[in-house]
Amino acid sequence: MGQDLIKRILIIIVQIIIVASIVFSAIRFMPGDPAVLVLGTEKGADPEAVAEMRETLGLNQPFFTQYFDWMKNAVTLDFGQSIFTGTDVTESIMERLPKTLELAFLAMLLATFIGVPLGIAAALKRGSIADSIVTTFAAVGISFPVYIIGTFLILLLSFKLNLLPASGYVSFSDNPLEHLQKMALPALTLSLGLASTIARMTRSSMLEVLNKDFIQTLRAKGLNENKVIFKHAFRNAIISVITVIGLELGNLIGGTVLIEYLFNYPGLSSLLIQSIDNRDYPLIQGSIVFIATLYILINLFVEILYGVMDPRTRKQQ
Amino acid sequence: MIKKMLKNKVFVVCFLLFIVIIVLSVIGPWLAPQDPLEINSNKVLQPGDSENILGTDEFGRDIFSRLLLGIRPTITVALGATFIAFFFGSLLGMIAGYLRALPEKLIMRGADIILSFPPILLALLVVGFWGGGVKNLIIIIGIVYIPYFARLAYSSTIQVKGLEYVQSEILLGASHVRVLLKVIFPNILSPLIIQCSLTMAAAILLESGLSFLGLGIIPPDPSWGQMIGEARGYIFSYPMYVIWPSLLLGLTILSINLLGDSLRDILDPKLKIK
Amino acid sequence: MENETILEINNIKKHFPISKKGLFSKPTDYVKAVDGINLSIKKGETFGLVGESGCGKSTLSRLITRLIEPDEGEVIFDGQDFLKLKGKALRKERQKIQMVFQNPFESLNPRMKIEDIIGASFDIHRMEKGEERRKKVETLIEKVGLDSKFLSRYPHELSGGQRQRIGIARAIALNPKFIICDESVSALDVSVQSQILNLLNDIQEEFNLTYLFISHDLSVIKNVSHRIAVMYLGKIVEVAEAEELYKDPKHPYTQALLSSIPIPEPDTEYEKNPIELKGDIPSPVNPPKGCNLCTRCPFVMPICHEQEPELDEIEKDHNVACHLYSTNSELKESKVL
Repeated sequence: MGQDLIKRILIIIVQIIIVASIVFSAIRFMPGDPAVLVLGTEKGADPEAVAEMRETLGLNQPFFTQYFDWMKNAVTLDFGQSIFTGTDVTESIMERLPKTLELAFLAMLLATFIGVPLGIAAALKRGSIADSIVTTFAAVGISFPVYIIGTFLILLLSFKLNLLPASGYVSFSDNPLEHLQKMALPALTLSLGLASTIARMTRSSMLEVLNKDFIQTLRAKGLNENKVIFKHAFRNAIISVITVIGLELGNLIGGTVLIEYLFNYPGLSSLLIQSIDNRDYPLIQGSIVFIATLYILINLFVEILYGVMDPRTRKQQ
Repeated sequence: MIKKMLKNKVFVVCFLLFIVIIVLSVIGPWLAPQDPLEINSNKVLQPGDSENILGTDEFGRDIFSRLLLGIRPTITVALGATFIAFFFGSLLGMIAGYLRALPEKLIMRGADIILSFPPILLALLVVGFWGGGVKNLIIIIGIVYIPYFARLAYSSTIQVKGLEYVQSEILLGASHVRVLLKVIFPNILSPLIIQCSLTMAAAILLESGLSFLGLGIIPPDPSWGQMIGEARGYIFSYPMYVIWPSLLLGLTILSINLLGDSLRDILDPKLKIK
Repeated sequence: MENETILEINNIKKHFPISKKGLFSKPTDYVKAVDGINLSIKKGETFGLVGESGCGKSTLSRLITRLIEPDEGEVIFDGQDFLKLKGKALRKERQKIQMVFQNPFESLNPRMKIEDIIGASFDIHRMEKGEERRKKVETLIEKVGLDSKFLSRYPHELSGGQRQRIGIARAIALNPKFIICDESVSALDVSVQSQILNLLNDIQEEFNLTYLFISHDLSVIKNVSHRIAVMYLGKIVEVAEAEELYKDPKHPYTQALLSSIPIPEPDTEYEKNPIELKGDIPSPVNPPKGCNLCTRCPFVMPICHEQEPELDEIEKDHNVACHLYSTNSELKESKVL
């Protein structure tokens, strides 16, 4: 296990370096002059301003000199300053990152609390309402983009029923209740895709376990049905459910991009969209490296977690 | 095979829908009753009437006409990206599975690297530096889905390669090209075709997502995702504006997904999930 | 049968690494599928190779044809070092050795018509086209006893025996000199088996072919072969004329194999006292030290655990790898049989 872990971590470091290199190279291989694009048509016509901007972007240095400088700084989490606001890139990211993580975490919790009971209900009574909800849920969840589902939720829950606010953000320390209210819709929208996957997984693994011999034996022994289902069957089904949650955690981070934009939620992903709109290249580079690294680290964490949790994978290693 | 296809009702319905979508993407602009790009400040965000069946948007443009025009970029991007992913992914995957050794390592590690980005993030990276537009979207979405085809082609090739009919072809003195294209490729085509329809649906999802963020198809040309993004600002004043493109987009993706599922049932009964 | 050697195999080896997960880890264990085999096959004969499944006989056939590249050793075919050939030269030369495969349901490309399966050779070597190709293919399918109406069909429309005939037609299309029949009849019903064996026999005479006939089935091997080699755990343990081998098997493993065939009236020594081996075949990953059979052999001696026996000619044209018959030691005295 120990040796394998070191190997995994080495691979991940290489992966992150490659990702960072791609992100760095992107600006160098752009069509057109990035400096002119940043300045816009008016200022971009002024050669002095362009030269200054090229200096700021580091474009007047040879490729490899800039590359190694950039990588060296990146290791110390220094991605330079935002061209637009002049603030430190890492600082801006660090301010936004917890908000995105909170959103993803809340969505995960919600998805589990929606998905698991629904899946169990569907498995226990095939053909029941819960069962058809799971099936429809799955088809819709795969085909309708999150932002459309979000739009419909806004129309229903804030426009028609006036239950929840549709956008904005209030920090927890300012007003805990309002904070949660404003988080509710984005988190719910983000959670639905995962909830549908969890429900399907719970359903199928419960069905599989319920058909196993040891469950039949327990029933034959006259054990209380509730005990059979929750103490024995569910316990055995839970591993595959946790696996799915882990696998989807990374996709949840990807999902925040569209959700944050739809709900005007000031997280890391909307910072990225904003910086793309502003052609704020250092900020784009910084945010993408951060999000990609987060994604890779989450996947590593999940993998390690399995190793600890599932005795079968432990033995293989 | 064709009999089996006609028997599968889901397939027939979805396939017809698919044809309709493709045809509309070609002739849609000519069917448009109004000029989809014409701005009319006198009738902004009007509900439907006899002239504008589904009403007008924030610039007074006819929503129905824009919906008709908006299919084209979406379908062009989806078909183009799927083709790129299918072509390069299958080719690379087959080479990796057939030659093994170094090509296998290079190709499959490369696929892993692309997969270590969430798809939308990779697309944002490229769009952020290169800009949106149909051409860029085709290329980048195509690249994003190459690894899926590569992995599929790779594992199928390894399976088929050990079979006796491939070995006998090698014994007869066939060249690598012939073994790959004439013997292996036809025998791994079914799963790749199924993957094509799933990739098309995913490509539409990704393109419309980028357009929704205002980073995909470049305005004023409409696309469904972009219309949803714009309509988002008027969701309370004129909800139907956002509902129409949302429904059309969702149903399009749904029908292509179902097409893929039914195709799987027809082509590969073994994979059918009980 | 002529006395000229057509195929000579010298000390051929193939060890498959057991791959471990991970990027940097090197394989530490190997499956010793073929572990140093010497054989020579004469022109025009049918050479039988018999052994239990997993003993490495299929791997050996693929090493000879270079479907798998050997780790070391030599294959001299028709006076030519077959393992040195590369690229085009290899593609040209390898058509002289063909195979008839085991599984009739896997050996024909399901996406091709029978006509194209048999005609593939002509396409590959850019030989006959169009009408001429059609005629050649028709001749071939008639040679293997099938009607030419099958040409427009697909493999799944044919029975196992018919498919095996197609496989034979494909193999002889390029006029090969040598055909390896790898368990070619073991997937077929007994009645169909004999038809296919007869067909193989007819074709051998007509085309002056040499066969390497691989099977786990002793009765099939006995009927077709002139000479027979017995294989155990990647090694040859005994080679002899077919009749001699069945009448007077020397190696304990061969004796055990033959004992497992039920015989109505036993008359030889070992038939009256059947030999049974203890336990299961050891894993080819960790074969025992010394003689491979030492863990199971009823006549095991101390030296069997120490030293690997060589394949020696103990009688004319009868080679055995067993310390019981060692020519070079005093052990000969303690011979049991």
